[in-house]
Order: sequence, then C-alpha cells, then structure tokens
Amino acid sequence: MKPFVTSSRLAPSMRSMARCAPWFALALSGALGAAACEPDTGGELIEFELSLGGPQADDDGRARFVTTTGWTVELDEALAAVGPVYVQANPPALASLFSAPGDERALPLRLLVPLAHAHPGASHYDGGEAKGEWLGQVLVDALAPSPSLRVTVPGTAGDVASLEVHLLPPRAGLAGRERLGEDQLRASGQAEKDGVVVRFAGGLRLPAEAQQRIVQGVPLAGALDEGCALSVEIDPAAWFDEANFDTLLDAPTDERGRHLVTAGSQVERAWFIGARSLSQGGAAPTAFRASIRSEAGR
Amino acid sequence: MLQLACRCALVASGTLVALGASAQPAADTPAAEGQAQEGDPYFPAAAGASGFDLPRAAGAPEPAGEQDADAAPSPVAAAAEPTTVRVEGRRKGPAPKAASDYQIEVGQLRDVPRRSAEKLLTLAPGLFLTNYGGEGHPSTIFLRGFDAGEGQDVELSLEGIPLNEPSNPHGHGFADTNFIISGLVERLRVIEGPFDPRQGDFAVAGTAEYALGLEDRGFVTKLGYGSYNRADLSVLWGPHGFGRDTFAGVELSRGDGFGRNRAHQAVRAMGQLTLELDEDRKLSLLASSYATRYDSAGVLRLDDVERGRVPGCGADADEQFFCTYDPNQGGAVQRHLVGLRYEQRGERDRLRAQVFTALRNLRYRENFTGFELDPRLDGGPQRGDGTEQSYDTVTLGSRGSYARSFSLLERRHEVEVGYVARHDRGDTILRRLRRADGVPYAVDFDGELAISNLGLYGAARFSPFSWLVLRGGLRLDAFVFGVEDRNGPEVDRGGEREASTAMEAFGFAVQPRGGATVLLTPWLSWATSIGVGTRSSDAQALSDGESAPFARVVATETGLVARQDRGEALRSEARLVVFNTYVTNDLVFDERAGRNTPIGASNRFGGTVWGRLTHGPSGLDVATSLTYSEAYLTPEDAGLFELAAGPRLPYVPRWVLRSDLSERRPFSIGEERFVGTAALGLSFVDQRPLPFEQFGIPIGTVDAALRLRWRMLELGAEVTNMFDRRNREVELNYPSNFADPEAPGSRLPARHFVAGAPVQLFGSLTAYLDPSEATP
Repeated sequence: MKPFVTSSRLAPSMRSMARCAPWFALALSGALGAAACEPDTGGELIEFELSLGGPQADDDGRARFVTTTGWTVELDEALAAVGPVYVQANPPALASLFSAPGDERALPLRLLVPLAHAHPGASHYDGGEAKGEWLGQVLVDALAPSPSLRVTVPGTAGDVASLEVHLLPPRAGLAGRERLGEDQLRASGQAEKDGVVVRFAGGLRLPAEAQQRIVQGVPLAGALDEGCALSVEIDPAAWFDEANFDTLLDAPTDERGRHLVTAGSQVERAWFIGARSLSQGGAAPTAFRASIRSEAGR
Repeated sequence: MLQLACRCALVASGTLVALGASAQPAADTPAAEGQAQEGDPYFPAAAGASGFDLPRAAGAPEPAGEQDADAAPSPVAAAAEPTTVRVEGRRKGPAPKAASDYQIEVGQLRDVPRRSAEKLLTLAPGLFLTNYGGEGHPSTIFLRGFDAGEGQDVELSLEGIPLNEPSNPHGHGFADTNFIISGLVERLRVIEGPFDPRQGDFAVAGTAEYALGLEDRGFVTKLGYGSYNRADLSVLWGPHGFGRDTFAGVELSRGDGFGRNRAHQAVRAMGQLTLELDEDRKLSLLASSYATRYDSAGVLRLDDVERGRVPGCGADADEQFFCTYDPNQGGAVQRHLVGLRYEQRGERDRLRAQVFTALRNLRYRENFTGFELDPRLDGGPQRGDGTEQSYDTVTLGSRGSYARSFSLLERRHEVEVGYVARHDRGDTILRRLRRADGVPYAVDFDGELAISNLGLYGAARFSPFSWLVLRGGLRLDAFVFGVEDRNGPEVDRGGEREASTAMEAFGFAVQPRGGATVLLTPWLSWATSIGVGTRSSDAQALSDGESAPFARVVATETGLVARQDRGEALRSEARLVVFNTYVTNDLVFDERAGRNTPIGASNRFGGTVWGRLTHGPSGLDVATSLTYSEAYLTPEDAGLFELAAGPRLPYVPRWVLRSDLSERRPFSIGEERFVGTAALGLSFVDQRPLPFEQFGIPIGTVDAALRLRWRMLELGAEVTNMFDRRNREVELNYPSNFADPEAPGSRLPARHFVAGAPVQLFGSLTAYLDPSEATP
C-alpha cells in the first residue's frame, strides 16, 4: 500500500485509500440512514428586512457636525439616490489590513515589519458570494426621522461581512426624482468657521468610469437568517469632512443666496471622497454604516 | 481433461452452427482454454473471436461473474472425435472484470426509441443523460453519483479508439459520441468504476466502450419523418462474404426542433472492413466521418417563464417553456477518424495492436448568465455573457496488448501486458460574444496544445481454487502537457513583451486495481473490487514546470452476479451491487465558465440492482435497473466512515430507474408472414438536489414503438415522451440577468432550466433490399 502515487497529491490519496476499506459496506448502511431527504447543499434561501435611511437628525430635522477641517456644518437637506444594495460574504479589503491572516503569533513582529499587500487589480475588493440583494433604487432623505426604505428582500442564509452600495443616477421612475434632478446626491446648509459663515447648496454627480458609482466593502458583521433585519445608514456628516467651505465664497449663488457647489471645486472633490468614505467599525467619518439584528433580537 | 481447440469465424448468422469438430487433449491456450478469458475491453471483436463456451476442465467451473461473455452452449461440446470445427458465432465481449462490468448486447432492445448512439448508454444501469446544448451537443452523463459532464469522468471509446478530448474548452475530457451511427452499435461495455487496469484517463466514474457490428447482409435503407419536420435517412450495408464486423453506413438527419432555436442538420458515415488473414490473424480498418450544425435554446429562468416574460415568445405557457433568450447559441462539429486493428491468436497467447488518428473541429456557443459577467469598467452596458468555445485538434495514437496463459497448480491462469500511447495537438480557444450580434469582444484563453499520454499496464488472472478467481494489475500513466498561451499581455512591468508564453508540465500516476470473485453456486458469484483511477489535469490550469496533479478516485464495490444462459432460448442475468467512491478533486458545473470546475474532495456511495431477461421463444427482451446514489463534498476532518459528511453535491441524481422492453412476435395472415414489434422505454429520475438547499423536479419519460415487417419492408411508428410531460431536463440554481444589459444584475441564485422534449411522433419505412439473411 506504500506509495502508488508519485505526485504532490500523495497524502489525500493515501487517506482516501484508507477510507475505502473493504468493509465499507458496513458503513454504507449507516450512511444511508444519515443521508436525509433534505437537499443539504448549503445556503438556504431566506427573506430578510432591509432598511435604508439616515442617522437620527435633530428635532428640527437638521444635522449638525464638525468637520476635520474645523467647519461646523448644519445641513437642512441631504438626499441620495441609493441602490442597488448587495450583501456580500467576504469582508472589505480594509478589514484584511487589520485582521491577522495566518499565524496570529506573528502579530507583534508585524508591528515592526508590516505585511506587504500586492495590488489585486482594478479593485481591492472581492465581495465573494452575494448573500442578499435589493435591486431597486430609493431616494434617501438622510435627515428624515425614519428610514426611507423598509422592504423584504431575498437572500441566502449564512455569514456576511460587507455591503456593496450603488449610487447611480436617478432612474426615471424614482419617487421624488425631481428633488435630485440629474444628481446622485444633493445637500444644502451652512458652514461656519472662525466667524465666517458660508451658506451652500449643490449636487454631486459621480462619473460612470471604473467603479466610482459603487461603494464597495461597507463593513458588516453578522449572519443572515430568515426574518432578520439589515439596517443601512447613510451619514451625511462624512460628506463634507474634508471640505474647505471658504473656497466657495467666490462661487456663484442661487436665488436664495446660497453658494453653489460647482463641479471641480474643492468642496465638490471633498464631497466625492466623503460620499464614498468608509471606516473600520463604523467610526466617524463614514458615509455608510450597516448592522444586522436577528429576528429574536428584534 | 479434455478441451476443444476452436477457431471461430464471425459470419452473419446469429446462431451457432457446427460445421465440424476437432477434439484435442488439453490445449492450454488463451484462445482454447475453457476457462473464462480475460479479454481486452479495447478489442471486443477479438475477444469475441476467442470462441464460445467450451467444455470446462474438471474442477474449473465458470463463476457467474467471471464467465466469458462469449460463453454460450456449444453444439460441439459433446463432440469427442477429433474433427475440425468451424463455428458461426455471435460476437460478444470479454469476461467481466467486476460486478459492475456490464456487457450489454444491444440486440432486441434496439427497438426502444433512441435517437442516437449516445442514448444507448442508458442501457447501462444507473446511467442518466441530460442535454442542455441541443441536438448536436453531447449529453451530460450522470453515473454512480458523478456528474460526469460530457465525459470528463467517464472514459469513452469506440472499438478501442479513445473519444475523450483533453483540454477541450467545453470541458476537459469532453467526449462526443453523436458521430456514431446507432444502427451499427452492436454492443456496449460499461464498467462502472476503475477496476480494470486497461481503463485509462478519465475512467473516474467508469468506462463506456462501443463495439460495432451489423447483423444484416445487403442494404438496409430507412427513411423517416416526424414531428417538427424531423427527417432521417440511413443506408446500412453489410456485404456478403464478410462477417458482421464488415459494414458501411451513411445517415442524414435534419429537423426544425421542438421550439425556438433548435434546428439541426447532421451527416454521418462509418465503415469497417475486417479481413481474416488466416485462421489466427485478423485485420480491421475502421473509418468514420461526421459533420453537424445545430442551434441551441439554452437555459431559461423559471421565474420569467412562470410570469410569461421571456422576450420574443408569446405568453402561452408552452411558447414560454420552449423559448430562448439568446439565438446566438448552437454549435458545429466536424470529426473524422481512422483506426487499424490487428489481432493474432496463438495456442497459448494473444497479440493485439491498433493505431488510430482523429481530426476534430468544433465550435460551441452558449450563454448561461445573460448580462452578468462582462468585466467592463467604462460604465457602459453589459455586452453579453455568450461564450464561443473552439477546439481544433489532431489525435494520433496506438495501443496494444499481449496475453499469455500458463498452468500452475493444475489450473489455468493468464497474464497480460499492454500499452496506450496518444498524442493530441491543436488549438483551444474560449471567447466572449456580444449578445447583440454574436461578435467576439474578449478572449478568455487562446492556447496551442501538445499533450502526450503514455499508459502501461500489467494484469493477471489467477485462480488458485475452483471457487475463487483473483484479478489484479497495475497501471502507470504519464502525461506531458505543452501549452502555448497566446493570450498574454503585450506589456508588463518589464516593458513590452510577446503575447504568447510557452509552458510544460509533467504528471505521473500509478493505479493499482484488483478484485476477487467467489463462486457461490454455478450460477451465482460474489465479486468484490477495488481500484484507483485518475483524471488528468486540464492543460489550461497548469503552470510551467509544474508536477501536474491528478484528480484521483478510489472506488470499491461488492456485488452478487447471477447468470443463466441457455442460448437463444433463455438468457437471464441479474446483479446487485453496492459501491463507494472517493475523489480527491471533484468537479461541478459552473455557470460562469459554462463548464465543470474543481470543488475539492467528494465522496459518493449507493447501490444498483439490474436485471435482463431474453426469452427467444416468446420474442421477449426486457432489462430494468434501479440505482440509488448519494454524493457529498467531504470535509477535511471527516471520519473514516462518515460517508455522508459535508454538504451534498448538487445536480447528482439520487434515484435513477430505467426499463426497456421489446417484444417481437411473428404471425401469419393467409400465406403472408409478418413480424410485429412492440417496444417500451421508461425513464424516471427522482428530484435532484440543487445548490442553495433546493430540489429539482423529477424527470420521467415513456417512449414506445410499434413496427410491422412484411417481406422486405418494415413500417414503424415511434412516440417519445408519450404523455407529453414538461420535463426540465436540466435544472440549475445560479444568478443571471437576461432582462436588460443596463439593469443592475441579480447576484442571487435563481432557478434555471433547459426544456426537455415534448411528445414527438416519428414514422419510418425500412427496406431490407437484400433480405437473404433477414427474412422473417
């Protein structure tokens, strides 16, 4: 019985040889009993609840926050066309940088000698198997007191680790489309810093090239099962985190005297980055947060 | 001890006729010995020539599972005077090597409606076929818990010529038997498992070997017409003065198909000339040409069909069921094959040699996912997921064997050595097609192949006691893969470069196989076998200098074989077998690639019960089998006897039932004699497990045929799927988007299916233009 196979796959073959002992028939009867009448192919089809909305705003329907550039911003409008949304099995690329693949005993050493990560191609993110999806599009009012969407969607049971959210141009049939025009996001409000007050308004159009309309790898931890609830929060506080609003002072104004966020302006570029920003663990600033509650937890 | 030395001449008659007899004391030769012959599966014709049932030496009974399939009571058995005999005998296959070594003479079961030689495979117990690609596309084979694709896990051959195609873009090991004229198939040998050292590459689930022959002499011309404008014309010719292994045939077929995009056209030509050089030596030349072009409807989403939203077809349920998303699907095949076979039999030995060559050119187009996989980054709409698979290759090969018998402990034994050498060379290409116009827009791979396989084996049959036969052997296979990848980048980090890269890989596998047969009674034996088989690597998956890995299978089985043979009057055989097979690296269908792809280790087990009864006086021939199998993806930590550990393998049928029945009854009206034929075929496959905890629906068909022969004419009528059941021949669970190239694609699995054929009628008129051997 010694090696009858000379390639590198020797070990599995030897194991399998042992597996097929002549008296396998004895095991057969047991196996027949174990072979239940269920398909048992894994990944049960389920339905769960998906909600999309903003963080709870102040009682007056405004969001107030301070950016890392030192501006205190108060938004009176924050809209986004959101969808489709895919729930994926693989973690975000960001997560793998902080996780410890391989031997965790090497972690202290890694503080001294960090791991090198080869560029995986056009995208760092590989979502793996899709575990749930919503293919529609909804106008999310991120300042509204309740979610803009609450819908039952299909999926397959099992662990999930990230989301993929699409920010596409508003579809013709999108309810409230007139509030967005041709933009994917719209916002208005005022920013104050060192006594300088800038009232602003504008929209953001994400270009079609590459994956710029897709936010990949929104961190998520949990498992989908029948009747669970997945909540996705769009946080406009992240949109302008790196904006310098004084650069808008030379921009044209609308009929209400608000400076317009024009394409190519610093605020518009900062908005583009902020609208797609993510952080590990959902710490601010992050444009998206997601969480799962099991049916029992609800 | 008295044995008869015989030389059997194969002639047209199906009966045994002694023209003379010659009795000689104890001729110890493989050809003359009365014990079971360990024939070569690749030389069934030669094995058939080895003779009929000869008087056995005292203490040398034939185990039911070991008995030479040539065996039949001989009229010369009682002859005691030294005489010369010439026997007209029906050619049959070599002796079974395992309980699941089925020698299936098509015989009267040919009456059951089957439209192709491929469908004859369903005569093998537990073998189930589904076709998702159309009339010219080979079927997917399911056998013993294996989803064997279009041949990647089943070794297929025709008269010893291997048919599996290495590194075919449609599937490594792809084998198309649609080029065979079904009327020329005389016998099938199906070994379910790798238990014979003669079985080569791809013998994972088993081996199926076609043997050709034509009983009728003269011309047999058949013209048929049926549903959906199907028209067939075939002319078979068996020249007088030659045996049943000399014949020629031509077949033309066309039809519109039973729904959108299912038309086909095909032409087949086959011929074989067998020259008996003398009593001991024989030379056979086989040639075949085949061409077909066909359209394919492909898959449909069940939710679209149920809602009547498959585009381009009416809302009627049947129109939707038989509709298509992508009319670019279909294929074309050209295949030409020549083989030369030599056989020599001596007093104690047997030599066989064969050379063959084959040319193949095929192109398949299919689309499983619609608009889902186009990797474009410019934000534009998806162009489509159609694939075009091209394979243009030449095969050169040779195989041979030498067998010799010897005496030890006053008993007969035999050893055999053999080889197979094969080289495949050609191009293999996989491209992506635009849905709108079928034009390629991307290349997945484009390679030039040069693959060589050299296999050597040694086999021995040893019978230490009258009640025990031991078989064993060792097979060595070496593969050399040479691939030129012509689809590389023209620029890399080092700067400009050539788009092509050459690579070579080498693989080597040793496969022991063996078994034991215990004779329980003269008609009942118990056979147990174990064997290691391999599937070579797809050259597309190898890297330069790699030690090419093999998918290895370890199979075991044990079973009871009961057999009674009373010649033309009554032949009956029954088997009960349980089996277990472990595969180190299994494959399962991947809709994104449109082919089976690796998934890791797997395990399957089950059992088969099979029986066949042929009763000459009543004209009845009936065969029935029932097979149960389970297949699981084996976890790394599975225990030795946890056969059902891990998730279940999808698509593998659990229960397969097949029954074939034919009744031929002569009768007279006045002075005129007629022969009436009634035949029935029944197939049932229980719900198959699908991915994502789903079950498919059962598949069932009932086919029937009636024929009436008068003088040289025969009128026939066939109905297939006579209850017009809407079978979903193939069911798959995976994401797709056939709705809109600009719509966001669903990534969740949806049920897809390929529609099975509805009820179809087919009428035929057959003329036996030289009825000298075929008058009822």
